[in-house]
This record gives sequence, structure tokens and C-alpha cells, in this order.
Amino acid sequence: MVFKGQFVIIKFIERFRVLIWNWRQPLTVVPKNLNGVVSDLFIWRASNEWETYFELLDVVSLFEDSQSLNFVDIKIFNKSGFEVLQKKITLNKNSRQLINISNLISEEWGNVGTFAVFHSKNPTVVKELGSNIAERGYVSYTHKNSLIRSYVHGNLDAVTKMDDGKIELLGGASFLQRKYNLQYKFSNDAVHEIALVNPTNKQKKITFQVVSFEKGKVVDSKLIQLKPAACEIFKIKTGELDGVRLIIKSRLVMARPLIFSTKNFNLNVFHG
Amino acid sequence: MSFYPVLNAPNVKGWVGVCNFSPNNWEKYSRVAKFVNVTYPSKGFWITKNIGKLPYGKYKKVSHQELSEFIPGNTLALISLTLTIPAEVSKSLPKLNTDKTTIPNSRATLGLSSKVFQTSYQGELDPFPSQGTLLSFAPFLQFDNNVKNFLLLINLEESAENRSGKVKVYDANKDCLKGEFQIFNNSINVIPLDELSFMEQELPLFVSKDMASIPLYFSTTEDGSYMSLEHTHPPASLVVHGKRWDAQKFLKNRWFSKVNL
Repeated sequence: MVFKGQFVIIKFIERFRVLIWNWRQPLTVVPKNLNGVVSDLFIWRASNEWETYFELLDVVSLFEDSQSLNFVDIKIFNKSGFEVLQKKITLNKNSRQLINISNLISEEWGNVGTFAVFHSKNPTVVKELGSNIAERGYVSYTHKNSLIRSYVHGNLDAVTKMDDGKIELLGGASFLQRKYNLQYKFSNDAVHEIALVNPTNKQKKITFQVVSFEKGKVVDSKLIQLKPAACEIFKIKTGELDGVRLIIKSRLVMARPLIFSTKNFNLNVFHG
Repeated sequence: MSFYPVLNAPNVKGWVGVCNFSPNNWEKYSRVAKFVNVTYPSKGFWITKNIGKLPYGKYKKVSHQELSEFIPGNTLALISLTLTIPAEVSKSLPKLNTDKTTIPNSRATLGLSSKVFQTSYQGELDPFPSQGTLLSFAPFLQFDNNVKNFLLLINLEESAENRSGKVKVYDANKDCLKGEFQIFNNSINVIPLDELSFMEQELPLFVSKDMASIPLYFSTTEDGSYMSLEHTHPPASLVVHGKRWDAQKFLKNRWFSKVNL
């Protein structure tokens, strides 16, 4: 039986339900400092099998001319989110500079971690628009000396560098537990690994669940505690007849993973 | 909700992988079987055909081969997942009756397969305004005798009427024109990049005042053993917060002026 105002009530309930998930839970917070420069937390992999590269572009000079050369500060973090290296690199205007991030990595830091690339300043016109310059550019990887690099772009404004050089994580946290259901089928003909970063300033409990497409049931699961700026690589268990999919449960507003699929020397890398 | 284009590039086969489940657990999403459709332009109209139904929770791969029986040649094929079947013939892109999510957007796997392996990205395609423009800084070229580099410019507009324009390629540092190519709306325009003779430190700049597009860069060894596929960010992604779209407008005006476009 339909009563007067039923649809208004239904709409109100739906709006309230969505509000619970959105209220004071941004994907990323706005840097407090208008001079602040922002970067994603990119994944580095360095080992006998993996190399990581980054395309350095002078993003500042895309916006304004200057007499002096601009630079970037690269900050490298280990798997647990601790800063292990800072390196300043001068940029060439309006040109490409490909750097081998793996060459900067010391063996004692392990074989996976994150890095951020901070430009030397926030251009005047960007500041006047109330915006912050962001480095969400192009990482590439080789696997087992593959002949070409596989590129993937950054996504998140995960971290900002303040005037005193300290960094602040910008990732948004959720009040309620969320599921990120990767809309991808992991097939049995390759090895699949996913990498996830915690861009928030608090430790987060993360659950990876692998679900069979055929049975609709969880066939593998892993629970971890991920520190701020830390990252984790999780290998997807395959072998199911019709392939599997991945669910990431967490209190991150969006737990978007990076996916590495390898088959012998071949590599496909992409983000969710 | 968006469309999912079947990609097209030399010596590889394009495909789309769609999933009928929500990318999150909190935005509204109908837990029912959905129609899988293909939409393509033909003689000034959009033609839509239903090619199956996907149960909730399942995955379907649609390849260019299976569409080739009724979609000619390199015509842009757009896959969609809907609650009702869109109109079979329309002057404008059909409005899709389906669920829309935002954090994240509902995406499909857009892939290219060689005989050896595959490359893909998670994406979707929404129509650009017909007055849109393109500015893309592209540090993706890879240099080896055995490697080929291509730009796949993907355009989609509401109207199915054909039109063409030009994309120009510059060295961003010298503002010198390296090449010019004709491009078409509602198409995946394949542009070979190796003939432009860029050096490793040079930054290619692609501009068009005639139409906006997704600039997708595809590199492959000749035998398809190794591949890379990624798109550049729109200029607005170089900044966060504030008036991002004004920042994009500023960048486009600045660089169009630099190259006298």
C-alpha cells in the first residue's frame, strides 16, 4: 500500500544512509599549508627480479617560467613507513628525466616500500586558485629484465611536505568498515600480487579476501595491521576454475590497490 | 554509469572485462542480473545491441572478435552494463539505466592481448563536450630497435555525426612542431609515434583545439611479448583542491599560446 509521502521518506532515509558514509570522511584532507606540495605514495620494488623507475617532470615550470632550475625532493620509505632516504634532484625544464629508483635503494631496506616526490614549490598561479601542486605521475617497473617498462600512474594526494620539511599524511579514514571490491578477474595463467599503501596517519587493520567467481565463497584471506605510510604486498591465490576476485576490507575511505600480474618475463601493472 | 570501450591497436586484440558487482559496500547497487550491450556509431546514429545477460556477482569478457560479425572494421565499440536494454537506434548516446558509484567509479578492464600476454587498465569512458580540447605531456616513449610506440586517442561525443580535427605534436622544450595528424570523433585514433624521431630526454606534447580525448600510450615489442599501456593525467590532475578546473584552463591557455595554436 502506497501512502502519501512514502517516496519522500524513502529518499530521506537513503540520503541519511549515504551521509553516514560521507560526513567528515573525505578521500583526502586539504593540506593546512597553501605553500604545501603534495605527492602520491608510490610503490617501489627492488630485488633481483624487480626494478622501479620514475618519470621526473618539472611540473612547476609547466605553470610558470623562472630563471633558476627547479628541483624535487624524493623521500623513500621502507615497508613499515619509516623514512630511509631523502634525495634532492635538479630538474630540466620541459624535458624528460627517467630515474631508476631501485638504484637508490639499499638492500637492508628490503625489497618493497614507498616513495614520494615533492616539487620545490607551489606555483603562484596555483596558490592563487587555492590549490596545491601534486605529483601523481608515472612509475614504471621491469620484471626479470623485461625489455620494456610497464607504466602506471599515481592516484592519490597521499602526503604533503610542509615548510619545515616534515611530512603529513593526507589519506582519509572511514568511521565504518568499507569494502573495496576490485572489479577484475584474476585468472590462473599468471602470478598476481597486489600492493596496498596506508596513506592515513593511523595504523589500519586490513583484510584481504579472495573470492571464487564460480562458488562465490572466500578461498583465501589475510589480516594485517598496516602502519601509516606503510605498504603490503599480497599474493593472490589462484587455481579456482573460473578465476577469483579480491575484496579489501578496511577503514580507509578508498583502499585502491596496485596490481602486478606476471607470467615468466611478462608484466602487466595497473591500479584498481 | 559509463561506457567501456573495446580498445584497438596494431597487432593486438582488444577486449573488455565487465563485473556485475559494486566496487564498494555502501553505494546503491542493484543485486540483479544486468544486460550486457554494445553501442557503436553508424551513419549518424548510435546503434545498440544486447549481447547477453550477466548474473549478479559474475564476470564476462567481450572481445573484438565476437563483435566483428556485426560491427564493421575499426568502428568504436562501447560495452555497457544496464538494468534495461537501451534504445536500439538513437541520435544521441543512449542514456544508461544502471547504478552509478563514485568512490570508486564502476570500472571495467580494458585490455589488449598479444599471442603471448596481455596488458590492461581499469577504466571507463564518458562523452566529452564537442568543444573540448586536448593537452597531454607524454613521457612514455621507450627506445629500443625492437619497441614500437603508439598513441591511442579515444574520443566519445553525444552526437554520432562524424567530424574530424587535428592533433599536433611538439617538443615541449623547443615548441617546435614534430608532427600533425588527422583525428576523428567517436573513434580510437591510432597514431604511430616512432616516426616523430623524439630523443630520450625530449618531452612530447600533444595538443588539439578540435576535440578532447583520452590519450592512451601503448608500447610493445614487435612480437608482443612485452607491452605497456597507460594514459596521461588530464592537466587538472597536476593540482589538488581549490579551483582545479581553472588551473587546467590556465595550463591549456598557456601552452596553446606557447605553440601558437
